[in-house]
Amino acid sequence: MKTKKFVLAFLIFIGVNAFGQTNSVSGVITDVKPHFGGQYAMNVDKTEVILIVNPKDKTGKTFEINKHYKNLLIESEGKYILNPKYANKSFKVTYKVNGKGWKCIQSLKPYKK
Amino acid sequence: MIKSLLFTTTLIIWTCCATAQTILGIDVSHYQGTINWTQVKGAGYIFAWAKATEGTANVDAQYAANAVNGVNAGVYMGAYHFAHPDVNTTNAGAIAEANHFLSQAQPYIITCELPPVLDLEVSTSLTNAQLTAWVQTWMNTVQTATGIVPILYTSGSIANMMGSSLAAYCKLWIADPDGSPTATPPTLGPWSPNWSFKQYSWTGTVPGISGSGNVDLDSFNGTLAALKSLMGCGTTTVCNYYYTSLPYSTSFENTWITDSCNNGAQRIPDKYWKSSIGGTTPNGNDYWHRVDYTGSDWTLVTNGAYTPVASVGSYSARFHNDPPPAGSTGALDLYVNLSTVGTKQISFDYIHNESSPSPFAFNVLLSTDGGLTFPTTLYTITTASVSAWTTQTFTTNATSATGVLRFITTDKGTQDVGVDNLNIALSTTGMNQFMNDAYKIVVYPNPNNGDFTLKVDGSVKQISADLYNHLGQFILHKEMNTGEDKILINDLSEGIYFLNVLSAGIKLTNQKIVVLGK
Repeated sequence: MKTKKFVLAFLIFIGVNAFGQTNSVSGVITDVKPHFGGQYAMNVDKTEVILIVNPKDKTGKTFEINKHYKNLLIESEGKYILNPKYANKSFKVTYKVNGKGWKCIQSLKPYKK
Repeated sequence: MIKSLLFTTTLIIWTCCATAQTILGIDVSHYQGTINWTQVKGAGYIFAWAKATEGTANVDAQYAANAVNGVNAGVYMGAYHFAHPDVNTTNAGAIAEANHFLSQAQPYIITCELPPVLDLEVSTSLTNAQLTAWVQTWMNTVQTATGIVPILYTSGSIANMMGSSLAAYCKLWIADPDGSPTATPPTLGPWSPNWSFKQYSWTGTVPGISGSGNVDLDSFNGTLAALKSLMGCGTTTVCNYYYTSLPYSTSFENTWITDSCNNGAQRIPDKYWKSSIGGTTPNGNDYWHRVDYTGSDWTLVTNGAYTPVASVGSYSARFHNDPPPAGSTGALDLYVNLSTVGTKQISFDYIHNESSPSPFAFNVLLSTDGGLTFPTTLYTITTASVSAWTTQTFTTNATSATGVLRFITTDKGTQDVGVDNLNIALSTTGMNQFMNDAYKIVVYPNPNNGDFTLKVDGSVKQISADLYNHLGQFILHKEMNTGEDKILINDLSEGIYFLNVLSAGIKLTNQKIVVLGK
């Protein structure tokens, strides 16, 4: 039994450390601006993170992000801005560095100090 | 009948699918860390771009390693430059960025590898026309230096900003990470409907690159034959030997690359060519050539082989001993035009910090027939253990236009052999001429190949010269109308001769002339 638990814990450890490579940053979202290839960049605690367009959506109007925050950005006058309901609110943003070196947002969660 | 039909059907399907195989590649930078290119190639990725530079100062820390190791693994490699028209907004800025790129990448930009790329991603305040001009200026600068038209990497929205003249000039690598290597990108600007390369993912996972979801994946819009055609494979002639003129010096500051001649095939058995010592000769042609005999090799060293790693600069040429039981041998050849008469003074720095390797040999051989034979040993290092960089010197009076200096070593020890700071100087003074001070008689050069000048002070009248061989046999008589005349000897073999210079029949001097082979 102990061996099984150990193996399971070991596999989880390997999974998280070898393949996860997910980092996080916490703070208020600012400076939303268009990024290369139709993506959007924003700053969280002085770190530029990138919101990736959903590649399955050829309109380029949806982003790869967890369901609760699909409306993180809203369209306004032909471009995307931060949804006012999320302004000045702190988030914990997890991100993963992609092939271009971008810190691509994986998930958002409310963050309380 | 049925068997025949099945066979034919199978053949058709096989032909169909083999032809339709998508050509895949990747693009990388320091973000991907140290890459195992053999594994990348083994996973089916046959081409790759590596980031070389950014702006006017940034150099990708992994570029040189990627450029060398990728090619050595058999991957078609190219270099890209991340443009900053947002910072260096003028055309002069474009030229500065191009020159920065060339300063790092030019040694690796050769035919039958991927063309260089301008990576245009940033937003600028430039107008579309200004941005197009900026890109064109960068590309013109790179093309002028390399002879190769670069490729533009960008997104559909930026491609839309480019002018049609640019689309007619260069090919497009489009960023469209839709996950499909073959689907036509929706936006191609003035290139539409054409695209050459597509970056179809920013989150690929590739064997040989640590981590997951951190590699850009790319595809080529065509067949392998079309890719080779785009890269200019087969358009170059067989690599030529270039003979450097004198004086010549190098401190081996660049890296080895694989010969790209013969449609990318590596020369057999002489696998590697140095394509950038001297920094001038494209397409794998160069003064330097290495020959590996038994698994060991001459290569570039940056650390670990000996201390310090170079006597001059940051690099040296290292013979890395990978010893089979009997020891290993490798040669490093320098093609050099020695035809100018005079003594060639050769020096190089040497290190081999090993007490008693066995067997061990280090010789510098000379070929005067373009490397077909090496009958002459110019220099031998007999002391194996040289623990610090030590300058070695020797001379040759050879006058072959197709000379080859071969630095050849055999070593079974555990420590590498290093060579650096090679210099070949031509001396036409001192022992190469003689002067009779009383009458200001000068013969130069000496030794020579049978073509020398006799000069006598203008105040001396009725000058004549008689030439004798070493047996005292008369060879030639020459009357001189002026104080300076040229004496040509065409039919003499190499040897020692004696020149009597006379004025009104009175001998002024008798001097020894050394004639070397032509």
